Amino acid sequence: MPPFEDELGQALRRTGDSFSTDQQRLADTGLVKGRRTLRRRRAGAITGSVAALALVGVGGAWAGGLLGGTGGGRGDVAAPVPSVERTSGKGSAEGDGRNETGKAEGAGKGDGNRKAETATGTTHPITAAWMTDTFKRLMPRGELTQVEARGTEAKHGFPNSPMVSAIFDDGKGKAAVLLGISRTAPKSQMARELVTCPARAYVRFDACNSEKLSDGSDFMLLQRYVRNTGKAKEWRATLVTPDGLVVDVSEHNAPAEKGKPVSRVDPPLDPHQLKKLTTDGAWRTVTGALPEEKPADDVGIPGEPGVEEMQKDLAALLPKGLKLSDKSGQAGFASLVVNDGKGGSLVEVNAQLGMSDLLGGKTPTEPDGTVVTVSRSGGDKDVPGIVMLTVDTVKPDGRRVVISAFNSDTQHSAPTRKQPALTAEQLKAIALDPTWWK
Amino acid sequence: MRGTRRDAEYLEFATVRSGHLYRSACLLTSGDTHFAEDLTQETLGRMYALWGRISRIDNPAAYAQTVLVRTFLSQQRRRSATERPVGELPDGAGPPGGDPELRLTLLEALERLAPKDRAVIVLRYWEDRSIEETADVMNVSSAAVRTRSVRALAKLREQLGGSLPAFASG
Repeated sequence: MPPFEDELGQALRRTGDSFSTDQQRLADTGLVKGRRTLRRRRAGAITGSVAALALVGVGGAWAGGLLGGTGGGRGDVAAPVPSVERTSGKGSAEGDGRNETGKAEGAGKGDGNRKAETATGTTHPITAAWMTDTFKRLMPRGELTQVEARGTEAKHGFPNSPMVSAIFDDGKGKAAVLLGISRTAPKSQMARELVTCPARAYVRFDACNSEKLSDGSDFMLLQRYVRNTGKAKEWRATLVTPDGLVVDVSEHNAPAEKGKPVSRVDPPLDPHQLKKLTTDGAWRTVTGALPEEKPADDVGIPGEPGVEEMQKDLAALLPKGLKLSDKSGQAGFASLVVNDGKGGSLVEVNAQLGMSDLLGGKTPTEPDGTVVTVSRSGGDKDVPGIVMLTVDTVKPDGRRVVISAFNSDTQHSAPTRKQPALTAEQLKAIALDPTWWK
Repeated sequence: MRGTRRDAEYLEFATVRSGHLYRSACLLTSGDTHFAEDLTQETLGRMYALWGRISRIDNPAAYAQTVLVRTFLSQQRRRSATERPVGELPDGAGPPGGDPELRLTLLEALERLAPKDRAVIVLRYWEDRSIEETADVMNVSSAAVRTRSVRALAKLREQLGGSLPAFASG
């Protein structure tokens, strides 16, 4: 695991372990809450079941949701899907549990599986067996062992995203292969990110290709390294269809995602085979069996600038004559690699609100009360020779812009030059520019 | 508290597990100890309500963690970010040798992540779950976990800078 992730793990453990509480009191309160939930559930069981039956009968809603089958984990009644057949979920007062806010939370004893539409308009259940059979049919020749799968059957009360995982051996070494299916909100930020190649500044990879397929789907194939050995690889293909179905396949050159040494040079399926498996029409038939996703709720903190806006602003504020490449970022954060002819230099900027507590009595350095701090460090990836130049600016009202420039084009590779492409003065001018808060 | 054998078995489980659940909740809520208590109690209440079926659950402790994370994510949607105190430190002193300032820095950095990104970080680096296990708990694809993990780590790196080494070894 890279040093930062190690350190983060340690820091989380130390911080987490520092919180203490009265465990007996929490347990007792949980018991009281649980008893209350059961009482309400029992009282509402009869009327609840009648309502559920009515919904299924009228709308053709997924079976199981309220009747104790697979759905309903988020407390919403599934939208009617006319072509979807009813299945035989068995109701159970205890199993289809509703908590005191009326939110369905339990799966109960139902055995109903959501069903998917096939190309011919009939339906088939998304069971673990179907996932396994389809996966086996589509995999290239070789030995499959430790095959584990799940369909949309709820496990312990929550609906599942179908998946299948296995150890595959084409004769050249055992390799973990994992296929998962889910849905995301079409055209959402998440839908875009899933098929956007990562920035080399943050992820080590040999190749990445993102393309639009003829049916309007987006497809990405990423050949990356995992862990810090330079040998452990993960090849990953992700398909996002226009209606938000996500098919994600990853394969390793080791029998497990982590904890097992590499068993071969490359993962077993070549990029062509990986794409064929991921984009096969069989997986598309699952779409109707998965609940539609609403647009993501995590586009950032309200008031902080969006990623595209920040990348544009950063590019506009940079000194003239620099060549720009490798954009990356998210809401409130953007990065670019700039090159003045002497080598790539990663520049990162972060705009945040509500950071006035960082001022902590520090003397303002600017006439408007802003505190500017300049620091120079070796970065946080323990790469020898790395210079990370940072200018941190916090305004009296808590608006903060932090900008860093490196003497490398990534945080995890050797320096490409002696100094970052921008000086502290240039970084300061960019950070203090009012553009960020326009 | 008077009760049945079911109650006794549940209480034994809940008393043992509540500490870890609460600590996980504190990280998920980036130090909001009141919200963390609510989440833990809600989780334990749900565990009690399904205790009749507990024998059918392979690993009740791991399942309780799953319930906690999903409860957090569902409650989070209903809470405004402004309701929560930012990185409120827990009552009492920190761990021996701990640095309250750096601990506050970590909690603040967690607070600035989107709730789902924070859940990924807590599951991956506090619970030490694999990407697939994390995806399972959050009921999202492993691709989504990877995406969230990469961007959350980038944001944490940006905010924590070089402060972690001192913290981790402090």
